[in-house]
Amino acid sequence: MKKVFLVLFMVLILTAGCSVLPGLSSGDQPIEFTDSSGHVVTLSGVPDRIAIAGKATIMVQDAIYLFTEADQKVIALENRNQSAFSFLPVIDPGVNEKEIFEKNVGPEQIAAVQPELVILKGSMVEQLGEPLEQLSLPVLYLDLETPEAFYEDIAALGQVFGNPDRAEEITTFYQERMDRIEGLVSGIGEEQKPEVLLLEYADKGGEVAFKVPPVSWLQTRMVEIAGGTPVWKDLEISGGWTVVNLEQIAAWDPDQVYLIDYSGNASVVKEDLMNNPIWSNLRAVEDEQLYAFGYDFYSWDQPDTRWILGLQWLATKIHPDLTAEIDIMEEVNLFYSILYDLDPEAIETEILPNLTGDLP
Amino acid sequence: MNKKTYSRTILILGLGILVLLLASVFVGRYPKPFWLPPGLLSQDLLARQLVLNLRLPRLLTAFLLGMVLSATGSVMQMVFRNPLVEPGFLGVSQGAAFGAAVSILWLNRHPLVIELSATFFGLLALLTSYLLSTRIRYGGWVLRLILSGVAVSAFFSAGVGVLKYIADPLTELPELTFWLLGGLYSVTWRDLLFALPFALAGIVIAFVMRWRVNLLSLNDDTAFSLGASLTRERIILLIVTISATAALTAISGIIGWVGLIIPHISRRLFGASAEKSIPAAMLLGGGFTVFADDLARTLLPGEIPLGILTSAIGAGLFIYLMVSIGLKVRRDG
Amino acid sequence: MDKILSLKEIHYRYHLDAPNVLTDLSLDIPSGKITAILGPNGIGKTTLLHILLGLLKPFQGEVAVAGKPHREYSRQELSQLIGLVPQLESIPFNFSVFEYVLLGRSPYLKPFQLPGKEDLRITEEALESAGIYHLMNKPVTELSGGERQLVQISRVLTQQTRILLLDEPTAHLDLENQNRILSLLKRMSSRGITTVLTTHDPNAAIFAADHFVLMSQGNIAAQGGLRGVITAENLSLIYKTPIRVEQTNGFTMVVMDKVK
Repeated sequence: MKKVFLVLFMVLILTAGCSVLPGLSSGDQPIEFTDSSGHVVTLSGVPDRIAIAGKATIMVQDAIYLFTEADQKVIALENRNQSAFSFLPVIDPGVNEKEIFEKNVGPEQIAAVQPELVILKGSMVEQLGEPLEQLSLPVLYLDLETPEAFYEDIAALGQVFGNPDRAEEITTFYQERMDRIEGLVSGIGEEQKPEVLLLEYADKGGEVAFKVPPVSWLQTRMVEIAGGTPVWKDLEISGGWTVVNLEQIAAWDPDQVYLIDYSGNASVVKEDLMNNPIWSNLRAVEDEQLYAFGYDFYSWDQPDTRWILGLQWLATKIHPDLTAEIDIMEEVNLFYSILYDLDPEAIETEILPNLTGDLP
Repeated sequence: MNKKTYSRTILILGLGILVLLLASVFVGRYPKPFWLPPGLLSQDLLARQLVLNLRLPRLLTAFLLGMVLSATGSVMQMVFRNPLVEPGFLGVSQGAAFGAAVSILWLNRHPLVIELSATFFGLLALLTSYLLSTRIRYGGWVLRLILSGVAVSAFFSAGVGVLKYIADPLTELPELTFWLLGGLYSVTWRDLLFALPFALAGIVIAFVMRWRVNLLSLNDDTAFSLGASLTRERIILLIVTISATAALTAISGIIGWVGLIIPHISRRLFGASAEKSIPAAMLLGGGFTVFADDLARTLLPGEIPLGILTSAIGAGLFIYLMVSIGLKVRRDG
Repeated sequence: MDKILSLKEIHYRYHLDAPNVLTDLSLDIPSGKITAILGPNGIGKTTLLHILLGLLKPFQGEVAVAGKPHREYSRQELSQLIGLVPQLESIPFNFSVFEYVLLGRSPYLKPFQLPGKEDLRITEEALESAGIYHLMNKPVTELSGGERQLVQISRVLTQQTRILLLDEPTAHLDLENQNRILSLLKRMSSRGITTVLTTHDPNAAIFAADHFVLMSQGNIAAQGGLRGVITAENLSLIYKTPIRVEQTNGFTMVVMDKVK
C-alpha cells in the first residue's frame, strides 16, 4: 500500500513539475537549426514568448523587428539606454507595456518572465548565454557584424518566426542593394579610390577624442565596398575604437573625412571643426570633403539594420558620379516601408524629423 | 655625493632634459612617423599649428605632470617614512578622478571648476584616510595610514565606476579607461593654464622645503627635539603637493608608477637626503614622463594610454636598478 | 645645587580613560651634572623624559626649564636648549652618517634655509668628538648598534644644547661601546652640559652619573647621591628581586642575589 502511494506521489510531483515549464504551443513541429555562431538552437515549436537582453540590444532588437510578428512575440527587453526607447515605440506601440529589464539584467531575472527563447548578441555567450542554457532556456545568438553573418542571422530569425519567406524578402532587399553598389564601383582602379577616414567623435567631460574602428569591423568593410580606401588599414590594434591624435590624422592626409557621433551631433561637430584653426587647414576640410555621417534615431555606420542605408549613403559620397542613380531619400522611404512596415504618414512624422548628417 | 659632483650632475641632467624637450617638439606622427624636419615649420602652416597648439601644450603638461608626481611621491615617501607610498596610495588620485567626474556630471564643465573639484576630493580622500587611520587600533601610525589609504582608494575607485555606470554612456563621462590608464591626447593650452598655479605651488614648496623634509622623516620625538612643528609642516607639505597632483590628475587621468619609482631611482643615484634627491627626482620625473608621452603619441598610429607606458618602462627600470650591482650611490667624500 | 629642570606634582596618563602613569611626581635635575633615572622596564622613564622635553604635557602639575615653563619658549629656542637621543631610532632611508648628523643643525636654520659652511664645519667637529669621523660617508643602515649610538650623540653635539636627554643610551651595547658612550658623556658633562639619562642598568648609572633617581610605581622612590640612593634595600624594592650592592676599592657594584 505504501509503495503505491509513493509511486502515485512521485507521478503527481512530476506532472506538477512539467506544468511549471513554459507552456509551448502543442501540436507544433520541433525546430532545430544552427545559428551564425555555430550554436545549435533547439525549439519544440515556434516560440510565442521571446526575450531580448545583453549588450548591443539596439542592433538585436532592430533585426528582430524586421519581422512583423515581433511585436506580438517579444515579451521582454532590456533597457540599456534611453535612446533605444525612442525608436521602438514607433514600430511597436505597445512596447512600454512589456516587461522591461534593468540594464545588465541577470539570468534569473530573465528566467522569471518564462521566455521560450532568449535572443542575444554573440558576445554574450559567457555572461548570459551559458547560464541561461543551464536553466534549460533556448538561446539564439545574432552576430550581425558582417553582411554574410547578417544574412545567416536573418535566416535564423525566419525559422524562429516560422516565416522563411519574410527572411527571404529581407535578404533580397539587402542583397540587391549591395550588389548594385558593388556593380557601380567595380570598374574603377585603385588610384581612383579616394583615401577615406572614418572618425568617431567623442567629447566626454572635456576630453575630446577621435577614434578609428578596428580593421575587422563593419565600418571598415563598408568603406571598401563603397569603393574607398580606408587609411587606417595598417592599424594593427583590433579590440575596439582606437584613439588617434590630430597629428596622425594630418599625417594620413585623407581625401575625405566622415564624422560619426553616436549622440547625433555629427553636423554640429562638423561646423565646429570647419572653424577650428588646425582642422580648417586639413586638405580634406579645405576641399569641403568633411561629412557628417547619416543618422536617424541611430547612426548608419553600425551593425544595425541601417547599415544598408549607411553603405548606400557612403557610396554616394565617395563616388557621387558613379552613383547618381541612387536617391538616398527614396532609399530611406523604402527601408522603412518595406522593412518596418511603416506607412508614408508615419515615415513623414516619425522618421524624417530625426534625420541628421549630410543628406541631400 | 658631495656638492660639487651633485651640482655638476644636476647640470648635465638639466641640459639633457632640455635637449629631450627640444627634440620632443619635432617628434610625432606628422608628416610621417617619427620626425618632423624643422625646416617644414616655415613652409607648412598645418605643421606650425600642430606644433604650437598640439605638441607644445602636451609635452609641457607631460613635463609638469612628471615633476609634480615625483615631487609628491618623494615628499610622501619621506613624511610617511615608507618607500612604498605614492600619491595614489592614500586615495588621492582616485579621489581626484572622482571629483573631476562629479564636476562633469553635476556641477560644471568649466576647466577651473573641474580642477577645483578634483583638488577638493583629492584632499578629502587624504583627510578621510587620515581620520580613518586614527580609528584603527593596531600598528604604528604609518601602517594605519596605509591601510586606511588602501580602503579609501578602493572606495573612490568604485565611486568613479558607479558614476560611469549611471551616466548616459553616450555623453558626459570620459571612458573609465581614460581615468584608469590616463592619457594626454586632449590637452590644450587652456587645460595647462588652469593646472599651472596648482602645479607650480606643489613644485615650489617641495623644492624650498627639501631639507626640512629630511627632518620630518625622523622619529616623532627626535624631530620634535630638533624643533620641527610636525603636524603643521607635514600638513602644509602634503596639502600643497597633493593638490598639485589632484589638479593634474583631472587633466591626465590616473598615471601610476611615476610617483613611486622616480623618487627611488633618484635616491639611489643621488643619495637619500631629500635636499639632493628631490630636485633630481623632479627633473628625472619630468623627463621620464615626456619620454613616455612621446612614445604614447608616436610609436603607433593609435594612441597608447600613458599609464601603460609609465608602468611598463618604470617597472622595467626599477627591476634593473634593484638588481644591478654596478649602480651605487656615489660617495666621493 | 642649581636646578635647571624641575617637575612639580606631575600627573600624567596617556588617554582620559587610562590609569595614571605618573602620579604626584616631583623632581629636580641639577645643572651641569649627569643624572641617571633608574627603574624597571615600563615604569614610565621614557614618559618622564618626554615630559622634560616638552613633547608630552602633564594634565596636572608644573614643568620648568631654567625656571620658565615650556610654553614661554619658542620651538626654536627649546630645540637649541634641549637635545634628545631616543631609545630606538629607525631610519628607513640610508642617509650617510654626515647627512644624518647634519640634521642636528636644524634648530639654527630658518624654514627654507639650507645648511651653510659653518653648519658643515660644526658637523665635522661633532663627528671627530664622537670618534666617528671615518664613518662620515657610510650609510647609517650599515652601522653597528654601537656606531649608531655614537651617530646619535654626534647629532646631538651639533645641536649644541645645554641639556641632553638620553633614553637608555647603553641598552643593546657591548661593554666596549658602553664605555665609549658613557666616557663621552662624562667629558661633555665636564664642559658644563646637563645630562639626564634613563637606564635599567644600575652599573651603567654608577659609572657615569653624579645624581641618582629611582622610580617606582609612577613616582620617585628615592633621589640623591650614590651612597644614599644606591642601596640594596632600595634596589631590591624597585626591581622586585633580591639585589646586593658591593663596595670594592672605592668602586660600587650592583649584583643580582640568589632568590631565597
